[in-house]
Amino acid sequence: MPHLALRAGRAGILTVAGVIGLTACSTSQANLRPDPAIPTPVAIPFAALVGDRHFACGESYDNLGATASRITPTDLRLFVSEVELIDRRGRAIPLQPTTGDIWSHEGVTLLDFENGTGPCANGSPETNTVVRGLAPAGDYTGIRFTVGVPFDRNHLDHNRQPSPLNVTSMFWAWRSGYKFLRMEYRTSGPARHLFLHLGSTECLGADTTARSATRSCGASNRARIELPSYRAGRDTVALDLERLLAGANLDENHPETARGCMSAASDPDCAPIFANLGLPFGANTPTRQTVFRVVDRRLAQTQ
Amino acid sequence: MRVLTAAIGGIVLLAAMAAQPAAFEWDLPPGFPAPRVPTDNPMNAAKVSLGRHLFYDLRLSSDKTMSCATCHVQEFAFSDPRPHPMGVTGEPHPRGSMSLANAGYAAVLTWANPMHRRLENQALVPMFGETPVEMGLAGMEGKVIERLTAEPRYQTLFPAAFPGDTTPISIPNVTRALAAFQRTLISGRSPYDRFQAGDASAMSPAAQRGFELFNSERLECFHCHGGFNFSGSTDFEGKGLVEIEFHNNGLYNLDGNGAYPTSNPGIHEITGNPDDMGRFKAPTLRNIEVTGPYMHDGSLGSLDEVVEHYRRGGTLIERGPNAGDGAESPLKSPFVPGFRLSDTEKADLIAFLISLTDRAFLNDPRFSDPWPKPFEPPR
Repeated sequence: MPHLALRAGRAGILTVAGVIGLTACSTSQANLRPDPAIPTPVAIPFAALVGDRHFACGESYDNLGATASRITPTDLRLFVSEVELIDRRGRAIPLQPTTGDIWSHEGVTLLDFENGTGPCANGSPETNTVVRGLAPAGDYTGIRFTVGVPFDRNHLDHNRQPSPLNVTSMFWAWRSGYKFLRMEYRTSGPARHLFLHLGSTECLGADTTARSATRSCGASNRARIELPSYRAGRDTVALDLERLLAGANLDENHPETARGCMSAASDPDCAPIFANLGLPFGANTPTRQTVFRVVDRRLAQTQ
Repeated sequence: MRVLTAAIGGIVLLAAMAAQPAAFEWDLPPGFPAPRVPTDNPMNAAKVSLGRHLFYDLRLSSDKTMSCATCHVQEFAFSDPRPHPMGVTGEPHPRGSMSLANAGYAAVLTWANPMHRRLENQALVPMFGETPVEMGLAGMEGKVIERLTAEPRYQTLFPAAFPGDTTPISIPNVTRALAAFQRTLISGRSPYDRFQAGDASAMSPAAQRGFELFNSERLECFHCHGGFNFSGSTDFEGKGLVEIEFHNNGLYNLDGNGAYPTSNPGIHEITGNPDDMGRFKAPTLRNIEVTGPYMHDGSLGSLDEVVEHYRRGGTLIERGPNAGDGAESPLKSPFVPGFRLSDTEKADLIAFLISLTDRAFLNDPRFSDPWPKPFEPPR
């Protein structure tokens, strides 16, 4: 017993010393040149825009899509993962995950632009517009990230995953995994209310009878986004709904298909949206994405 | 010196550990997360036992004719087959009793009240509420405490459940014990669950086809009845973001603008927001076979009628004070557009819903009446 007590006590002291050490480090950092080998916290701010306006629950936006519709968003959330910062020499440095945050788990971050008010009433009051992680100090001039949840985390029992992978409204049907992007809106058109749910489709399990692990998905639908002129610490990544919905019919749902676009390759409502995200769709080959762009941080905040 | 400090630190640490009460054994079904427990009402076995006694205690109604179990009957998954259960004064409730199965996982309680987040607070409503009167205890707090104090079992149970509390028999502790008991009412051992755990024979082929339909974009059921509890408003230990959803499912459309009967306007009654007309919580579908009649007002009598309602995308009432076509309601959830469904597919879907019935839960002796002489609930 005393032996146990000694060990427990030692562990306690070591922990305290560790905390003090870290505190000392961070307070003296201002005076010292940072060690480039030690990863430091990095925050990558995102903004949701609709053309030159900011996204906000309760706002309506005119002249969108092929139908020049007026829409009122009712939801906007997306998962971002596999973030890499690109330095001046073109080297890709993976953003290392941070812990202890309800918005991210092992490098998968939920961006949540809805605040649960007005037409977004079924959402959550909390919002998150920042991807956080660790990276060695450096001069980063570009960024790459994935809109989606990596395959190896996409098909687990979501009730047993830590936040944000246990958010029920971002989980899709059991075979498909998560909704990578959930955007919903009321429209001035006859459809009244349409959805955009981006996620993997045509997913198959090891067998068809029991609930077996998903082996593969015919269409993974993870959009890999590269923004070569992103200045870490200065710029914001903007998601522009005007460009996301460009070319889409926002007034009516294509008959006999899921309402809006739910990622089915057989749904013509998805074709322009997938092209905008740079995703392959049916026989269409992927093109360059147009949905995300870099904006100056101050510009993003004052708009 | 260093060794001494370490030793003292260790003793303090061990002492702190000893003061922690033993972790509560949930006996969770496979795949179930632990319920979230408020820090001011930790679980313990004595508290659960006390809550069970209180749940079945007629002394918690003004005239000693009703207990919680009168309107929350175990064989019906702690719901009530009456569409409008009556309180002690004979006043019918505008809404049916919700099943208490997995109530501990509900992020929001009752049919339509965004303010009810805690079982402890909710328990006050049936006991002391006056619109409608249910158990009729308004103004009788002192009398209730007197009655409970006179019961020998409570002389042991209350102090055991609330150690260190100098006045353990109190109304707040009654609500805490009721909440603790309700958190143990966990249902997750249905044929569907056995199927999920790998027993491919647990669900019939029809029920399996129904499960696929349930998860299809054609039917859209899972959007509002998602997750392990088949309800979008689900919370549990480790959930970072609490999700609370209310939906208008097109049950009524009195005026063409989506109006509901004034007795049941949904969360509009609480918020006053016109957009909230007819918005109700999507209840758990677990044990749905035995929790009819369906919808908040018990207006749909069978699962067949419920599936017809969603197939049509809303209910049409041709005449009477509630006449109107819910399918045309401008306030209806976009997830209720209506769908085509063959008769075979309807049977498959209902077979799936019936596979959510947890017979072990409905007969679990841990949840039954603990008092020596079981009473007959008034019918």
